[in-house]
Amino acid sequence: MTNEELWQTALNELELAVSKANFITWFQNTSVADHQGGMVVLNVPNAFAKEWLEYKYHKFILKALRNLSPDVRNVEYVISSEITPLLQKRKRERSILPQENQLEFKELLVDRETNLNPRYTFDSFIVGPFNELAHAASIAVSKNLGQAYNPLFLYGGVGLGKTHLLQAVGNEIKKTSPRFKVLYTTSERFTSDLVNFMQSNEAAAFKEKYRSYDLLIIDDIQFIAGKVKTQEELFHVFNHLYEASKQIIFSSDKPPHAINDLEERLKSRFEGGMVADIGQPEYESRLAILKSKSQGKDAYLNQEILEYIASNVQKNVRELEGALNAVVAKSKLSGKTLSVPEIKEILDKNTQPKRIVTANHIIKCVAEFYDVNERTLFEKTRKKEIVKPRQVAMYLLREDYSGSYPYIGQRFGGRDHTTAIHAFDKISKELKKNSQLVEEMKRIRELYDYSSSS
Amino acid sequence: MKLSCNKNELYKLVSLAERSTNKNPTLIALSSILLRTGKNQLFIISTNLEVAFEGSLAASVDEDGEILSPGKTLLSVLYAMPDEEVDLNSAGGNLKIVSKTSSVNLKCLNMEEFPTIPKIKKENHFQISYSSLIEALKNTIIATATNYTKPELASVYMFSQGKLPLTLVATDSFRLAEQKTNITHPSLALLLPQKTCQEVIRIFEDSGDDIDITFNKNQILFQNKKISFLSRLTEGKFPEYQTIIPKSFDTQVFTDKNQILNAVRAAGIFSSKLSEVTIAVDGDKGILGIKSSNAETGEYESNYQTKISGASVEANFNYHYLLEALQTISNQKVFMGFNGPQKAVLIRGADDAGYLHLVMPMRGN
Repeated sequence: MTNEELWQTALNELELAVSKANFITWFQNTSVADHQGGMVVLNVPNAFAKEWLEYKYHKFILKALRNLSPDVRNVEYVISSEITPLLQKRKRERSILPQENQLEFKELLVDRETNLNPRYTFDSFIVGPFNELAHAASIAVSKNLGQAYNPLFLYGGVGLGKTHLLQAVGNEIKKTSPRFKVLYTTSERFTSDLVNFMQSNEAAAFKEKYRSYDLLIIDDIQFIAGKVKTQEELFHVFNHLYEASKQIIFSSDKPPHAINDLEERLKSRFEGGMVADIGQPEYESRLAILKSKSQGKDAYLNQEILEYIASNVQKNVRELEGALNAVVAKSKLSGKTLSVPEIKEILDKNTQPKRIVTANHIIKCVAEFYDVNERTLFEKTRKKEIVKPRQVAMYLLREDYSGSYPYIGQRFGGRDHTTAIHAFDKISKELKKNSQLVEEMKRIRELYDYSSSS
Repeated sequence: MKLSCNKNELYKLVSLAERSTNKNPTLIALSSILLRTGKNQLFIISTNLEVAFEGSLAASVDEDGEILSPGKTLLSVLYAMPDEEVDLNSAGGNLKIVSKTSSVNLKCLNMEEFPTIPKIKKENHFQISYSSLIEALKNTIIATATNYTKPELASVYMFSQGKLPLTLVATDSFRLAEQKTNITHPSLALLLPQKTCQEVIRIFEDSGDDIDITFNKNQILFQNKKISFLSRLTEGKFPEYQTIIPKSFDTQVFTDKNQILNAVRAAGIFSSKLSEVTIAVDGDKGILGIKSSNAETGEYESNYQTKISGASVEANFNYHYLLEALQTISNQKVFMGFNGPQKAVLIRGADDAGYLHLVMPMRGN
C-alpha cells in the first residue's frame, strides 16, 4: 500500500468517526509526508489543524492507521506550505486592473535560481521557415536532455528570438522535470561570476557551482572572445558537463568558426553537437508575428495596417514589435484607426534609418576586412588575394550604394563597365553556393553598419 | 458564568473579534466568538484558522465560566443596546445579556468544537512602537498585489539584518513601497499576508501601547496589554528587489506636495480608460507639467515652475498609482527622480530617507 492509499483509506474510516463539518475543517488538505519505521508524518495546512489533530483526534488517527498497517507506532504533524489556504481562493473587491500598457519591474519576473523569465515559452514562439531548424532542434533538446544534440549552438542576428528559444528550453525543462537544475546566464555574467569567485579565492566553489547543473544555457557566447581565463574555465566546465551527459546550450550572433579570438578547442567543441541558425523572418512570418502580438489590441488595427508594417519593417522581430506598439499607442491617443500615410510617418520616425554609406566607406571596410591596402584595390594586378576583395567591393558598391557599372569601373582605376558587370555576376553566383562568402559579406556589412552609426 | 462590564468596551472588542471569524464556515464554531472569564477580566476570542484574535477587558466577575456565542448576532445585539453597563449570565446553553433597559437571551453553541489557539514559543520576539509599525504597514500595504497568484507579492515583506533598520516593503510588480523603521533585529524575514496587515492596522491603530511581536516559521503574534492577534505567515521568498531601486537620476524634481497632489487628482478626472496621466518635466525652463486627455470627457493641463535639475522627460503613469504614492508622503516637499520615460520614477519626501515609493510608467507613444 502506498502512503497515499494508506492515508486515503484511513480518511475513509475517520470520516465515519467525526462529524462532516469537523471532517472537512480538519482533515481536508492533509496528506502523508513520510512513513518510516513505524513513524507517520502528516502534512497539515496550518497551526490550528496541527494543534487540533494532536490534541483532539490523535487517538482516532493512530487507531485508523494501525488497523491498516500494524507497524505504525506514532504519528507526527507538520505544517506544510504546499497546501493553499482556503481563503486564498476568495476574490478581492478592490482592484485596479493592471493594464496592457502598464510596465512592470522586469527584475521581479525572473526566477532567482534559474534566471529564467517565465514569459518565454515554446507556445509563444512563432515558427517560420527562417527559424524552424533552430526551433526543431530546441524542441528535440528539451524532450531529450543531454541526448539529442549536445551542445546545441544557436546563432543569428539581434532581435530574432535566440534568447526566447534558449529560455523556452529552460522553462520547458523546469515544467517537465522540476528536479533538474537549470541555469540561464550570459557569457558576461559567467565572466563576472568567475572574477568574483576568484577574488574571494574560491575558484573551487565556482567549478562546483557550474558543474552541478543539468542544463546550462549561456547566451551571447561571442563575448568571451579574447578572455583567456574565462575560456579556459568554460572549457573545463564544458568537458565536465558533456562527459556527464548534461545538456549545454549556447547562443551567439555568428557561427562558432566566425568568432574571433576564440580558442580552437572551444570552437571545435561548440561545433560538435548541433549548430542551427536563425535567419531574418520573411514577409509571411513577419505578418504571423504581428498577428499574434496584436491580439487584444485589435480595436485599432486591421489587416491592411499589419501588412503595411510587415512589409516595411524587415530587419528583426524586436523592431517589428516596437513599430506595432508605436502604432497602437498613437491610435489610442487619437482614438481612431490610423491611415497608411499616418503609419508611414510613425514608422519613419521609429525604425532604424536605412543604411546610408558612401562609396569610400564601402571600399575602406572591404580593404580593412581582407587586410589589404586600399590603394592596391585600384591597381592593375591580377593577384588572387587582390582580385577577390576588389570584386567584393564592386559587388557591394552596386548592391548597397546603387552605383552604376560605368561609375564602379571608373572608381577602380578606370576599368571598363563590363569588368564591373562581370564582378557583380561572379560574386552573385558565388554567394549562392559558397556559405563562407555569405558570412564574409554579412560581416563586412556589419563593419560599415557599426562604424557609420557610431 | 456571571459578570458585569462596560458595554462600549465590550462592543469594541466584539466588533474586532467578529472580523476574525469565518463568515460562512463548514464548522459553525468558526463563525462564533468565545467569551471566557479570567481574574477580574473577560476574554473575547475568535478565529477563522487563518488568524486568531484574543482581547480582554476589565469586568467584575461573580462566577467563572465560558460560552460560545454566534459572532454576528452578538455584535448586532450589543450595537443596539442603549446602556453603558451590561450583565452577562450564562445558563443552560444560553447567554443572557441584561442592561438597565433591555434584556436579551441568546442561544449559544457547543463549546466542544471551538479550536484551541496555537501557542508560539517566545524565542524570537521584539518590540516596536505602535506608531512606527502602523505607519510602516499603512505606507507599504498599498503596493501589495491584489490577486493571489503570487502570494509573496500579496504580502508585506518585513525583514531585518544585523545593524540595518527593520524594513517593510511591498510590490505588485508595477510599483514598490519601502519603509524603514527605527528599530533593528539581528535577523528576520517574514511575509505578512495583506489581510493580516489590514487587521493589524485596524486593531492597533489607536492603541497607544508598544507592540510585542513574536514569530516562528509559520506564524506571527502581535500583542499589547489588552489584545493578542495571531496570524499565519505567507510561505515563499520575496523577490530580490534592491536592484530595482535606482541610485542615480537623469531628472530630479522638487515640488510642493499639495500642489502636485491636486494637479494629479484633477488630471485623474480626465484620464483615459487606462487611467493614464502624463508628467512632462521641462528641465530647461524648470516647469513641471501634468496633463491628461480623454476623447469623451475633455482635457486637463497644469504647468508650474518648480525646482528641476537634469534632462527633460515625459512619461505616462497610472494616476491611481501616482496618487497613492503621493498621498503616503508625510513631507510637505516631494522629491521625484526620473530615468527616462520607460524607467520607474522614485517618489519620496524631500528630506525623508526612511520611505520611498517607486512607480513604473505606462508604455507611451
